[in-house]
Amino acid sequence: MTSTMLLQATGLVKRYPGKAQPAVDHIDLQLQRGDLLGLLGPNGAGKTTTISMLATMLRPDAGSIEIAGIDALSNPQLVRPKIGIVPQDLALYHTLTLRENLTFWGRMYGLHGNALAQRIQECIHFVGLSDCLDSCINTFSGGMKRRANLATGIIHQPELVFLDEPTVGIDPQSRYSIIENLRELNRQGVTMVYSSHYMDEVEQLCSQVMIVDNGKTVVSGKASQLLLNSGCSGLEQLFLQLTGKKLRD
Amino acid sequence: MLLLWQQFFAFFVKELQLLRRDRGALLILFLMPVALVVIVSLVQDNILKVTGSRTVKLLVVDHDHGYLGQQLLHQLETSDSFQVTCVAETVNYPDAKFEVSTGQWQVGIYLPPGVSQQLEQRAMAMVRAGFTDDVSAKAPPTKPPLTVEYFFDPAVQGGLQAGISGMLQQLVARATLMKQLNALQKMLPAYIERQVTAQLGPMYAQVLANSELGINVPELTQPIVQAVQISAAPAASNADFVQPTSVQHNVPAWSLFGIFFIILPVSAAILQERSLGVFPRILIIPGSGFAMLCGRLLAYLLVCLVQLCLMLGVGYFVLPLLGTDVLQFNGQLGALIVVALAAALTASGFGLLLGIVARSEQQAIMIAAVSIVIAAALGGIMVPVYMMPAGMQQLSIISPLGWGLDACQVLLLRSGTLRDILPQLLTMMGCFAGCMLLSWRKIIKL
Repeated sequence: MTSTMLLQATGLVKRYPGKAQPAVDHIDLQLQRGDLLGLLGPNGAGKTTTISMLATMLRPDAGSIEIAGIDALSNPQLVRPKIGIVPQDLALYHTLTLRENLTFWGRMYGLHGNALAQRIQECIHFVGLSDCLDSCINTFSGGMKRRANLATGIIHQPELVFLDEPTVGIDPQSRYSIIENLRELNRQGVTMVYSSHYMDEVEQLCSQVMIVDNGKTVVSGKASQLLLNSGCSGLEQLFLQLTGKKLRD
Repeated sequence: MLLLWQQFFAFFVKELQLLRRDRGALLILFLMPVALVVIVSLVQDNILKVTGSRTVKLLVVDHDHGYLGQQLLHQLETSDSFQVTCVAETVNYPDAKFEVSTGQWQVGIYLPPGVSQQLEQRAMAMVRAGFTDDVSAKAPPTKPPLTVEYFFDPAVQGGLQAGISGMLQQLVARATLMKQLNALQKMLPAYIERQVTAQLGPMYAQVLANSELGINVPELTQPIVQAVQISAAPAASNADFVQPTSVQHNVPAWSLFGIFFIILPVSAAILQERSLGVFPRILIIPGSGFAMLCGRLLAYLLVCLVQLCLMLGVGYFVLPLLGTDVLQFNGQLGALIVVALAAALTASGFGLLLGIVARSEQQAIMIAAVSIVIAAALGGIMVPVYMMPAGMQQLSIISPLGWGLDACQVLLLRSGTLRDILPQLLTMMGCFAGCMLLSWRKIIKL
C-alpha cells in the first residue's frame, strides 16, 4: 500500500444466514487520500453492508481491509479513531440538545475542556447550526437533523468518513447545504465514501464512482471516464443501463 | 486509560440528561413507588392494630338481655379495635346476617333469647353435680352446648377472622367460668353446712348458721396468668426492640420494588440506541463497550440512591403525619443503603442485559414488567413467604427481590447487622456479575 493510499479492501465477502446469495461478493476497493468515492446501487445491492465492513462495524467472511496501512480486521481498535461514520439512521439523541449531543460524541473520542468547546463551535459553524446549539434535536427539521448528524460524525476530525445516504428525506436547500459542506470537507483533505440514490449528488461531488449490484462491482472508476466510455449523458442513465429498470423490492 | 474515564463520564452525564427529560420514566421511578409505599402502608396499618382508631364495625344483636350480652359488650367496647353497635329487637337474626353479608358490618354476633339464663342454670347444675355422690349426675352432659353465633362479611380476610374468632371464644369462655365460680360461691356454704350437720350433728350446723360461712370470690378484673409478647431478638444484640408495624414491613419492601423498576428505563435506553444509528456508532469507538456498560450503571445507581432516600424520607417524615408509626432504622441505615445499592446493581445489570438481547422496545418492556411483578410476588413483597404454599416457598429463593427483602427484614426487624446479611448481598452481587458478563460477551460479538 502506498503512502497516499488510505483505504484498500480486497475480496470482501459477506453472507447473511439463511440467504442463498452473499450480500457482498468479492468487492475490491481502493481510495487515495482526498478521494471522494460515490457508492451506487439499487436496493439490496450491498452498499450498506460494504460500508459497515469498511467501517469495522461488521466482520467480513472473507477478504482484507487496510486503513492507513493498518490491518483493520486484526486491529480495529487502531483504525477506529481515524474513521467517522454518518449513518442513514440518525445517530442522535432526540431529547438532548445539539450541544449535549456534540459534547457526548466529542467526549467519546477523548475531546474535553477547551478543545471540545472549540471543536463544537467549528462543527456547528461548518454545518450552519450555530443558532440551534441549545435546542433539542426533536425540534429540528429533517434537514437540520441531517446536518446535526454530519456534525456529530466529524467532531473528532477523522481522516476517513463513511456517509450512508446522508441526504435522504430532506428538502433541496438542506441537500445543497450538505453537499457544499462535504465538498469543503473534501477540500480540507478528508477522504470519503458516499453512498446515495441521488445520482446528481454523486455526479456533483464524487471524483470516483463504484456501481454495485447483487453484491458485485458492476463498474468503477472516474465518473467522467465512465460516462465517456458508455456514451451515457448522465450517471442515472448509466446506472439504469447497468442495473436495469426492474423494481428491486 | 484517560479515554476510558472520559467515555465513562460521557455516558454517566448523558444518561442523567436523558432521564431528566423523560417524564414517563421519572414518574415510574419516583412517583409510583412513593404512592405504593404510602397507600399500602396506610391500608395495612389498621389490621388488628392494638392502639389507634376503631375500624372494624361489629354488630351485636342481643335478644338475650342478660349477663352474657353485658359481658361481651363491655369487653368489646373497651377494646380499641371495634366500633360496636348493639341492637335488641329492632333487628332480627336473618336481617343481621344479611346486613353483614352485604358488608355493612364486618362482624355480627347473635345472642339468642335466654342464653344467659340457660348458662347460669347449666353452670349451677355442673357445680351441683360436683357436690353430689349421685353417679348419674356426674355423667357427661347430653344436651348440646349453648351457642353464641358470630358471622363475618365474606370479604374479611382470614387473618382478621382468626383474630376476632379467638377473641370471642376467649370472651365466652371467661363468662362461662365466671358463672361457674358464682355457682360455686353460692353452693359451697350450704354444702359445707349440710356436710357438717350430717357428720357432726345439728349443734355444729347451728354454730355455722350463726356465723355465716361467706365466700365472695372477687370479680376477675385482672388476669392471674396472661400471655405476654416479648422480643425474639438475641440477648447479645445491642439493638433496641423494634415493634413490627405496617411501615416497618412496607417501606423497605416497596422501596425495593421501586428500585427494580430501573430495569425499564435502562433497557429502553439501550434499545432506543439500537433502533437508531447511535449504537453502531458507539461500538466503533475504541474502548466504548466497557464505558457504555459502566457509565450507565453509575448513573442509574445514583438514581436508585435518590429513590431510596425519597422512600425512607416518606417512611420517616410523611407517613407519621398520616397517622402511622414512624419508620425505625434500628441503627442500620448504612447497612440498609448497602442493601439498596446491591439491589440497584442487580436490577441495573438485568436491565443492561435485557436492553442488549431483546429484539424490540416492546419486548423489553413486557419482559421487564412481568419479571418484576413475578419476582415481587415470589419474593414476599405482597404476601409473606411463610404464608405461601410449600412449593412456592421453595421457588421464592430465586427472587432477587426476595433476597433484598430478606436482608431488610434482618436489619430492621431481626436486629441483624451487615455481617448477618452477607449471604443475601453476595447472591445479589453474583446475579449482577452474571448479567454483566453476559452483556459484555454479547457486546463483543456485535
